Amino acid sequence: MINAFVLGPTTVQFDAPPLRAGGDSPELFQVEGRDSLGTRYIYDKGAIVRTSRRLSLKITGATLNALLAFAADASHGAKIPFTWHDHDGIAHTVRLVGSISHQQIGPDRHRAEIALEEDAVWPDPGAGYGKDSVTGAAPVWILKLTVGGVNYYLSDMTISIASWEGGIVTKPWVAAWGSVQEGISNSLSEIRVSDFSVTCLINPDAAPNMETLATGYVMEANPAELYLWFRGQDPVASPPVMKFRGYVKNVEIPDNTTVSLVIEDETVRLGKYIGTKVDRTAYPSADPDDVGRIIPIPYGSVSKLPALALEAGIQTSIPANISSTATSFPVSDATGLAVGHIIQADDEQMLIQGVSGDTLTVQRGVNGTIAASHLMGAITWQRKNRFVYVVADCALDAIPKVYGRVGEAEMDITSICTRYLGSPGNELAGYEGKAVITVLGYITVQQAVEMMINDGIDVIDVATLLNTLVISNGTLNAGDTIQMTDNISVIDTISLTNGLHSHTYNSSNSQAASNCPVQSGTVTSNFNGISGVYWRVNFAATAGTRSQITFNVSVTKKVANSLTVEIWLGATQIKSYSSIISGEKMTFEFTLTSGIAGDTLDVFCRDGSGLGNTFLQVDSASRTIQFSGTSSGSVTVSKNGSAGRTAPMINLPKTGKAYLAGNIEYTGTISKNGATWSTKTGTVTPYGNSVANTLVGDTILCDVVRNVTAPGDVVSNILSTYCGVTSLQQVGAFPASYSINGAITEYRTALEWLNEIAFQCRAWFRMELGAAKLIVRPDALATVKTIPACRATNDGRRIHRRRKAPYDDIINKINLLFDRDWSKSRGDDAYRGMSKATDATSIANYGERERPELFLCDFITSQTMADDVCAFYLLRYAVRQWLHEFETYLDHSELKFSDAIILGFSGNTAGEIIEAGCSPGSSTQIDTVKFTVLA
Amino acid sequence: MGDTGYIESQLNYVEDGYIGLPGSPVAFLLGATDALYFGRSPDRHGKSLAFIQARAESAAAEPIIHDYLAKDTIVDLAWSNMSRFDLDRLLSWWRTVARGMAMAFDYIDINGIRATVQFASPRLPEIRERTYDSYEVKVSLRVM
Repeated sequence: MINAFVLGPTTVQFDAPPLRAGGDSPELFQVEGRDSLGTRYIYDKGAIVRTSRRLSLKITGATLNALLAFAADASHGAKIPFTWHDHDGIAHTVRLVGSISHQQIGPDRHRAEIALEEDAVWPDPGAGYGKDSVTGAAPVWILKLTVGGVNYYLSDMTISIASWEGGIVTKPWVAAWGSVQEGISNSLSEIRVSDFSVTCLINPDAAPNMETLATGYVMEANPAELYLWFRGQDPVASPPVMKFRGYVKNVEIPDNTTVSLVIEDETVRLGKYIGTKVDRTAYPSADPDDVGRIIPIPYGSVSKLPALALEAGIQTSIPANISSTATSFPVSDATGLAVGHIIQADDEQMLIQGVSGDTLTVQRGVNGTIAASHLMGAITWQRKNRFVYVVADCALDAIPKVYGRVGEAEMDITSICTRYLGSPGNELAGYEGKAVITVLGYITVQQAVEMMINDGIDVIDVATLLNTLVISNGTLNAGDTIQMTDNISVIDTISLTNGLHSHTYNSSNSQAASNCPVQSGTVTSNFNGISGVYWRVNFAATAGTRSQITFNVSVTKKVANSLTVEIWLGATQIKSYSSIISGEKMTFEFTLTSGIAGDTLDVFCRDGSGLGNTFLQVDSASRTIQFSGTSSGSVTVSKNGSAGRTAPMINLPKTGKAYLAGNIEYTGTISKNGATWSTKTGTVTPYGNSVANTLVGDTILCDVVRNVTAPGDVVSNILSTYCGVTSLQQVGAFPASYSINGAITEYRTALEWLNEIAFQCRAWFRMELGAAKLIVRPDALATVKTIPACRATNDGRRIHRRRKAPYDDIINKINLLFDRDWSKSRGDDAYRGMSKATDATSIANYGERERPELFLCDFITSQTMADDVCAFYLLRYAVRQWLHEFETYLDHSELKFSDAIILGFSGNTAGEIIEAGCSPGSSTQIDTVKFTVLA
Repeated sequence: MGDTGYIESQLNYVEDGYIGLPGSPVAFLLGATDALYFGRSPDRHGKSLAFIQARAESAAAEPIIHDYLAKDTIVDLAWSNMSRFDLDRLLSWWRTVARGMAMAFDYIDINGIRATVQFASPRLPEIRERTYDSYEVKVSLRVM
């Protein structure tokens, strides 16, 4: 077939070949640029080669009509490609372009002009055309969108990459790429979020297409990623490289052909405010002063970090005076108070029995307190048995000390607190994952107070001691009765001497003559069947124990015969004296030591020879009685018998002591009447104990330790805990002295905190392509690459803009405050340490430039670290540097923010990249990268 | 057969004092294997020299001109009667060997002078069929 248009069953057959006036213009999608050294960069931007053709035909009216019908009904204008069989019989796939013009040039002759466009596949370049290829590289940009859980890969051409992301085929929907400017501005206090715009085509034949995606889904929900790849590269060895990552921020559909997206740097997702605010919903009895504050998030060792009272009891006030007997009265706000609660106003405690609105019905003076009147404005607070203070919104490793604020001083109250670190097994129920302390009961503190009132103050001008001194009720009870001892304790037993007490029998005075044992030979008595003389001794019943009785007997033998004299004691003969010579007078003595216990002792003497007493005359007899032990009572010695003598009664003296014990009481009235007036001038120094503030409800401070102190660890913890970013890359190493010791105590965004922490350890923080980076800024730049040339325009101008860094960024005087006192609000007086540095040359050049607001370093506690940070910033910012903004080509596209480079086109100046962006190319514009370098 | 461009072109050679012979080995060469010799010689090429040079003017139009950054020599080749065979080979060379502007190659002109060149534009300026097996073709080369 020749000279025909064919589309399916529809064919337009031309009568003759086209005139040869037309021409072809094959065109590649290649762009070129030039750098400041004159080097040409040529990038292969397309996947097709397009040939534009123009046919000029002389055709009949019927053919013209067929052609016009074909164009309208078959190819739908330019929409549907068709086959053109040329005059050589070669088939071309073409589409109409623009209009079909025709002119009648004769009878049934028409000249028609047809513009065609023929696309042919442009093969991928070889493997050698990668990033560093000055000419021939075929960069292609791919925008990955995740919408509705489906990944869409958009580009400005159709590209198949079989071994990347599971194999993709891009949708050629991108009409125009914007440019990416990514980085952090030089300003130390600002973070600039970059964005990127892209215009996409709506393909009405695709389902879904950009319009349905934009209108049917939340495109902002997932990250968008921009990749750079070079066609022809092995996607395994050289896969697409991510150059930008962000989130769709703006979506616009300006007409029915395009959708415009604005994609913002993902650091926007770090704009999340971090920290848990105390609120009454979660913590109904939280201290109102702490409501709205965030629970601290400490790192490292933090001293005297204020804890927040989450269970502090309700506190309100009494809006009107109440008497000591009022049982129902209003309070300013009864929210949270309930029946059964104990409240306290001044020193009185009350039991709530009813709550109606803001009116309480109470039982007054409970718990041993005294009902009293209270004045309007009296603070009323709920008494609780347990008070809970939260120390950290995370688990801690230690809470070494707890302080209570008493006036202006802190007092160690660790011993009365229970500390929960918040880690598993060491948590307080209801406060899992949080470090808390509890204080049992209501604690007051007595504090020694010394007050210097005045050096010369009249304490009491007139001191009235007592007009009447009444010592007692009028009766001085010295003792009603002197209590002597009631009984004189006479010694009941007269202690006689244990010795002998002789009681001499004397017949002449104690024995009647008739009882005299002197016998004339006639037995005058018979005793126990034995005749003889006997002596009877009768001992009184109270007589003591007798140890012996000695008798002395004198007898005279009346006859000459031998005679035996026997002494008998009862029926027992105890002595016998023989061979007594007649007429002889004989005296003998005997002693009885036994048989003398009875009350009656009979001793008698007789003639043992049987001659009877006629021959024995008892002349005299005496006896001595020896008692043993103590005797008492009276001893009556009597002699019965023939002698008939009665022992005389003997009176014994008794000696002892007597005393009287008792109370002496004096009853009377003592009073003193009168007045005492005195004026005292001088120094009065009251000193003593006074009741100070109650601890609970007041400030509680804690020393805390959390073993997360390395800068990288701290940043990583913030990212993973609060931002869902699980990876952090630290670039460079921090000096050994660098550690983070501080706390997040204010409600600010994660990005702000991260930036502040990074600043305080002389580092940059940024999100880069889905990963967080903490980049340590070295003292000396270590350059990684030299860029020999920047981009130049076609008329030879360098695209290299230089401007001096902002004047406000000059810093030549630093007073870096560190070691924060966390019990104080942030401000110049809340720091205990300072590091100072100045640069005289810079001051001379620019005047004194200080940024004190930047150098309140809450997270620095070490003097060494503070000095190092201070020196670093003075080194970098005392000299006003230049900002170099320039463009280059993709062979430098690997350079990133914070890389140190040498600007070969600008005097080999070394500098630090603080902005790195890129501009994807198009069919008319070459791809470039753009840097801002601080040098 | 009113189109006489081919004949006119041949006459131009004479009029312009062409000293070579038709069919002189005008060629594109790249490496040892890729070579494109044209069966029909082009017209005598035209050359231009362009300077990449920043130029500024004062408000009163007094110029301040920097030294040139680079200078480009452009060779304009034009065939008035390229055969279809040569055209197809040229297009193939352009696409697959030179890859448009990407690759540099050697150009041997009708005088036998060799120069390293690139295609100067992503577009082949014009291909027009004048008569059977005769095409007007214009090509711009940038001398490296």
